[in-house]
Amino acid sequence: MSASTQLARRHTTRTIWRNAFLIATIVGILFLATLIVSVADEAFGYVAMVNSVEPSVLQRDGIELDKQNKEQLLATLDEHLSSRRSRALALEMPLADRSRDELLEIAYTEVVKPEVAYTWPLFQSIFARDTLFADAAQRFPESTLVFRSWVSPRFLSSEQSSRPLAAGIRAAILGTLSTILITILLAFPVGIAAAIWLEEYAKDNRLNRFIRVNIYNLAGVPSIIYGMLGLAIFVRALEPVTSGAAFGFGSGDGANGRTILSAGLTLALLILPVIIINAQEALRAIPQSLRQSALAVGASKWQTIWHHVLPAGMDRILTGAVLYPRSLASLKSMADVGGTMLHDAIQAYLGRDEALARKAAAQDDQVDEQHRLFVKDVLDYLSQHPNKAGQAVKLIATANYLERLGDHVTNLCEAVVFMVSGQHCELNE
Amino acid sequence: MKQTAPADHPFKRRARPGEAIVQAFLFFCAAVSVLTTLGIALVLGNESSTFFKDVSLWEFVSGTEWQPAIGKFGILPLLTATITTSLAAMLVALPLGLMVAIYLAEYAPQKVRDTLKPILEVLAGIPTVVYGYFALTVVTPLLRGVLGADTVDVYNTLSAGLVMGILILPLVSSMCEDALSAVPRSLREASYALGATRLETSVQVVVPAAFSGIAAAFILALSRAVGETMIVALAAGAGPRFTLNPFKSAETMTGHIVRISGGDLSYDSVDYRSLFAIAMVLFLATLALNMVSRRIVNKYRETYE
Repeated sequence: MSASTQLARRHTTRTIWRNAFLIATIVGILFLATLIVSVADEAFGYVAMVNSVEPSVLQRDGIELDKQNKEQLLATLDEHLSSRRSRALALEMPLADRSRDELLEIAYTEVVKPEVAYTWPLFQSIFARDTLFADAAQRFPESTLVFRSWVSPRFLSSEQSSRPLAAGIRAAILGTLSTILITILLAFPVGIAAAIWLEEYAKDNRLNRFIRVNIYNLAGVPSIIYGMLGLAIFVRALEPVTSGAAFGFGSGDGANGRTILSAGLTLALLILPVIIINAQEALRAIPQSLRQSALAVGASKWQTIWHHVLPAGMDRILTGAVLYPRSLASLKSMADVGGTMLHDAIQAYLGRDEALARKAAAQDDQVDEQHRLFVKDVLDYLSQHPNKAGQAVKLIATANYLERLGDHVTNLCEAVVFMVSGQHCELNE
Repeated sequence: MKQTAPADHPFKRRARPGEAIVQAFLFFCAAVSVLTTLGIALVLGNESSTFFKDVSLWEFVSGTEWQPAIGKFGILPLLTATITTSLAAMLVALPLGLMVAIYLAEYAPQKVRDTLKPILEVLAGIPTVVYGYFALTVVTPLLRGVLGADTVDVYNTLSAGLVMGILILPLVSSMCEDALSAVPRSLREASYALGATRLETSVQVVVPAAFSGIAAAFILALSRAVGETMIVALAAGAGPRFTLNPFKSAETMTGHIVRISGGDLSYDSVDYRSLFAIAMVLFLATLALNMVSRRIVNKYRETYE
């Protein structure tokens, strides 16, 4: 086989796989898109509403239901509510004592009784409206078509209910929030304290090595195992505490350990390894010089940690992220471009290649631009956080060195151009 | 007036009782993790040892029926379901994850990488219960539409496994990408210098060099799939069945634990203790996978100077 056909084949393989890799990435993103779209598709769209009693029937003195005042609403309710129902409602609170808005609410839930006959998904509601309207008029002639968002402030703020229109997730949201609150209040202090022990105090002995390995292994234990632990320890063994019976809460009988407290405690154990590992990384990123200078002026170990290390590391511990990530990335890319330039310049020198030399020098503009943006970014950051000056100065100095690297390579390239063509030239004016 | 301390021993170390208390507290917090492990081991060991007094270990590992109501406790039906779902998840996550990683680490320009990576990481942040719902309402109808409603059950392990693969995809791709990025550029340049194309460089030079990281990612992904709960609980079915057919409904170990422990369960019954025996199997399996993964990283890691 000749070299050129072999090369052509290799290039074809390359192209095919290159596209395959790209497609794989796109597939991953398509999954995400499908997921979001399918949720949105069901959450919004037209619904056909059927009322037991049309609001137009409920006009009083020619005034629509929505605009009636309290007395008119009372009369309307009196006329349309069954006597049994109005007695049941009056038992909770006499109708006359209720506010006008409450009465209107009752008029809707008890008399109008809107119900959803059919729902259409979002995409049909947008792109096939005409057929949808025709379909609705034919199948549900009594109904009115309304565009409805199933996610609404009302949905978030009302209690659960057996009627879909009135159902809400307030209780579920509050439950989630209080569980998270307990989890965070427990897991953060304990996790950060554990990280401080491991990073600042622990000697490299067998016990501490065991603790470290153990934390990594715990991070990989499936959450359901923690669930079983919670069930056995918090729900059953500590039932008097977690059900509140020990503190005199709850009815004595049927005390049950399946509470938010149990869930919060279990979740705290579950996320503890992750918090410890993140906090350890944040503490490790804090320069040793900070600790040494505090110790040098006579601070005790704990004073050093409490007054210097923790404040410096707190933003990283809480977010798990490092300081100005955008800027730091451009520092790396400056170094990369500088490295490529140097590489090219040496190649140009070896190959006596004037074009390559000019090309290498041309990349210097890129480095200069990144340098300018980086310094600006760091200075902006510095004006927000004056206490980070030391770090900022070091970063800027590093950037300056990299920028100088680019300039030196440009000089190299000028020398190469001179060597090849015998002409002095100033590249990148 | 403020009293100054007598200066007879100016350089003596001052006793700081507070420091010792703080240190003890910090150590205690670090020890909580060990206590957690001990707690897990004790709870699982204690309950399952009582369980194995009622049910023989041999019946547990070899029985093909799991029906607590008639006293049959064979874990194989739960195990086959876990294997089927994990296998399906691996078939999606491993090839796709590795290819995404190669694309991002070797091909994608910086800008594309900076946009795509966070998007993929969103996938990892979605609660798994949403994935379960997605499997049940989107993927299952799709499978039934394509393969026929007679072949595919309403609840089936394939749909749960496929969606689990999507869940694990970002984990695989981000770990593999880290491994690929750690391979020094000089290796790639040497390969280019010999005239290799970018594909040949990435597949024949970079991927083998990053082998330990990639293998570790694959094993961690498997461990995650075995332990995944909400997706299988929602989409794989509610009833143990001894089958490897991915179109049938079956219940995994995690799914079974969640269904039974969520209901009205009388403590101190064989049913209750059987859950801990399953959890024990699950714990040992994932622990072993995690340890193998760490061992691979430590043993086969190539260090470049």
